[in-house]
Amino acid sequence: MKRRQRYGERAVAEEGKKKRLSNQEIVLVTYVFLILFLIMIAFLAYFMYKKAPSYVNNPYNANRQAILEERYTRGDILSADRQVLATTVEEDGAEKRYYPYGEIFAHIVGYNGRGTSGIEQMENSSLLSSHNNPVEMFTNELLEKKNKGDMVVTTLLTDVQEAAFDGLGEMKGAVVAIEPSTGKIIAMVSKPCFDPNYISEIWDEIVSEEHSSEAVLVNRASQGLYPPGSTFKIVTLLELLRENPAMAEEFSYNCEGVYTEGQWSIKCAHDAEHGEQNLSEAFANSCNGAFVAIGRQLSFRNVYRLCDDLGFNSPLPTAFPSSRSRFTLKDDGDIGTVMQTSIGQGETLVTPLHMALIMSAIANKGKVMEPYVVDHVVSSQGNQVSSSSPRQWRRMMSEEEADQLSDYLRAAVTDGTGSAAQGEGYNVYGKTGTAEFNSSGDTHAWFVGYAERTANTPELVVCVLVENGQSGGDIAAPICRKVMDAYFGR
Amino acid sequence: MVSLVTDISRYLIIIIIALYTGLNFYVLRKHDLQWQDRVCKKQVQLVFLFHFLSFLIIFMRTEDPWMMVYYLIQWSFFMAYRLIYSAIYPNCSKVILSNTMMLLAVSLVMLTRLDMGKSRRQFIYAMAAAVITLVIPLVIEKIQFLSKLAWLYALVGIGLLGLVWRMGNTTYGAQLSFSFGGVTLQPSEFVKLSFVFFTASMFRKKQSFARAFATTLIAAAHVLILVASTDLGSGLVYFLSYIFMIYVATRNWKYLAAGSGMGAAASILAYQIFDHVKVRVAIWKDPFADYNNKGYQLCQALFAISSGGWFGLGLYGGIPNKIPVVTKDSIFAAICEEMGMIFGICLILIYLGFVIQMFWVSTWMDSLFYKIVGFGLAVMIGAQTILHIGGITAMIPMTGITLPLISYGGSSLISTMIIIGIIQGLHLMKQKEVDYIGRRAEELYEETPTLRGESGSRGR
Repeated sequence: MKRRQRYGERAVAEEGKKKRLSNQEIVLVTYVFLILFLIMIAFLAYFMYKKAPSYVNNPYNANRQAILEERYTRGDILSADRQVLATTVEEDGAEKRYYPYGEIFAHIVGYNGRGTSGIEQMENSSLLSSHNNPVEMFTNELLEKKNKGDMVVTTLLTDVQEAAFDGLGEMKGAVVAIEPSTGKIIAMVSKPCFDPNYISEIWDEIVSEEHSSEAVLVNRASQGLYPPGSTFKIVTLLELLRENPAMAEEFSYNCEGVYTEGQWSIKCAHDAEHGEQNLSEAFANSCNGAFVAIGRQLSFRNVYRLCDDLGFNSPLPTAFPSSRSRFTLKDDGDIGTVMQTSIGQGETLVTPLHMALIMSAIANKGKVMEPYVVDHVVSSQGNQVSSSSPRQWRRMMSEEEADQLSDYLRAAVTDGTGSAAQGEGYNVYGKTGTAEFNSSGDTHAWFVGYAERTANTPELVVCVLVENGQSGGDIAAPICRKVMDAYFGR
Repeated sequence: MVSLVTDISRYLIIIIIALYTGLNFYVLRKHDLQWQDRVCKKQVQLVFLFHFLSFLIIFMRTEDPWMMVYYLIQWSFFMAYRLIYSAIYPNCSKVILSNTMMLLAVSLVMLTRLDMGKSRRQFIYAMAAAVITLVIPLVIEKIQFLSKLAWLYALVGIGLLGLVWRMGNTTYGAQLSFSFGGVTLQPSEFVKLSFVFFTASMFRKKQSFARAFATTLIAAAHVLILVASTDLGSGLVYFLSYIFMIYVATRNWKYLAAGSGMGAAASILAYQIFDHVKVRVAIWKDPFADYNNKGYQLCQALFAISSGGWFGLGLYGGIPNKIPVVTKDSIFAAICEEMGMIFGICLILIYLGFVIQMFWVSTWMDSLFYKIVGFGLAVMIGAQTILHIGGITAMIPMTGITLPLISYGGSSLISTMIIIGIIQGLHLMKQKEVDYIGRRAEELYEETPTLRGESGSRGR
């Protein structure tokens, strides 16, 4: 009797186990689907939080941006010194974008109308959304009143921007000013420029064929690619210090105005004969012969690797469009190309912004911060929405190397070609460049450098490029001085 | 005034869908069916409220008095559907019933906003499907030989798919349908059913390797024909449901592993061989590379979803008609644009609850045949939902597939309604058994004096 009872219990238990087992697989698959659905939800939340703003901003999405413009009054763009760079005004009952500074901030702040560019494009979704009091916004919505979009506060300083703008005058070119310790862009000018207030009126003209060669809409500071000329000697010098410090110590070169090797010969700029030069003098006087001689001693496989570290051939970490600088020489095979490349000619191309970043590395103990132009976003009622914090982009060189280079750069200003960059009340470190861009000997003028008021605290990096400016020392360096005067004289 | 009403309604709709979604999971807490029915009554009220508010917005935006008439007709349909269904099948799953109504309501609202003509046609399909599928639970319950027609299912399935492949109309680069007498039919939607029935019939008694092999060959033929007709979405849905079904039937994880491995190998192969597969992957990686041509649909969908934000632009506030194939393969993007991402996520959760309910019903089944049928159909609905939503949001490459019950299309709607009918049939079968056991227990109680505690009085 007892045994039968126990048997029965076991049978029931077995039966139950069997049933549960046959459903085990279904339960497992149910969990698989549960997880897949949850992943999908997580993905969508991430998408909305992280990616959606850039899709809203996308220039192809103009139709839907127009919908947002019907709901929000486009927010203001301010400079770091709280001047209005762009605002929305009512004109004959219609909204119009107004740029009080006209041409001066044209490229970096951008335009709105005929699509968008510059900060108007980068921050489109901030400008067309609002973080004001939700109750008030809802009430406005009900009353069919537009809400005021958020306000974008930039890192730009109007005085410095104006100085750069005036400095270039009627010449074509670009100026970039960066705070090396943070990566804040203080000024960014590109010429020729346009007045964004009249973008619709002038559009057909500036994109017409006869004007297309001027490329008015291109921001030359970040998108223009130019041969670096003698500014590249910074790179050649850095490689020499790395590869052969002994040679750097004992370096001596007798300049007779031209360096010849086989069928190739390279002259010094402005037909100069520098005579007996040590390394510091050769750098300060920008002696081509000496640097070709150095280049012939270097391994270009190493130079290529150094250029890689310096950010050539890779995109710059910018929120606005920027071009990749180019360095292509990978070995020492072709003597003519090696000689050209050593002094920044040949196939090397660089953007003024990138040149400024390399200089930032020297000013900032070898580290480069990511350049940024939007400091923070606040709602029109003053609620903080988001703010940028400085971020390191990469280390380009060691602290000692940056230190060594700064001595050479200082000498180039005190005793060399860059003397015109020196102003009152601060010390300038820098390098000039005069870069040939065609076979008839026309040259772009460069100056790139940084300045400090007290020792070892560089405050501002400036890079000036003047298209067809002929002389870095005479044309570009004085513009740099104007920019630095404006910055330190505030 | 118009914007006052429409704006308040817009936010109310989000609250309603969130409440509804909450109830959808709350109902899983207790197995007590009477309690569940009470919860579902609340869900149905929310469906009607959603439907009313949406049509209020539609009416205020279009200022078309016919919309009120249209609303009333739809309202009557939903009322009648629920009353008749619960009257004929008092023991049906009320959760599945209210989910069906909710998803249909979302579909009709969205289609009315997007394309009135399609909305009207879809409404007619919905009414037809509702009437036809009224008998499905009865068929499942009463007809015994359904599990013995394996070869007929295989013949019909492969025959229909083959016919479309060779002779079908080409839409958006895929052979999906053929038409006769003005009616366009998409057989892959119906072959879904025969496919699941085929697999279930094959495995109902034996799960030997030889049987699995033969079944797999025929299943693979289905999938290959679909891939050859470039109907990648359906091919993938069939494939996924098959490998999960064989796993549940054989209770051997090795089949699942082998199936997944073969699937992965096949997709790599398909990527190498078929250009249309390569194109889909390329679009997914970078929709902007070919913006004006192949990437256009996905870009527009992503713009729509992004611009909608969490709360949506409101019905008629966006421009969802810019998205290609908006009423079918892209409808989720249109929903997100105008109703917002919160609504979209709630919708995903409703589908999840729906699928879990279906899996749950299949676990009750004692017969392996019915278990596999219920399970396989649930996988189909779940996979289709993931492929549609994942594809249109660029989480996975787009396969071009409809969203069950919401996308426009008669074939898709009717086949989904049949699937729901089958699941209801399974539910009823089990319910009947439970009732029988309950009644039998009571009878036993009455008949056996010892159970009533009268044994004590007899004494010993």
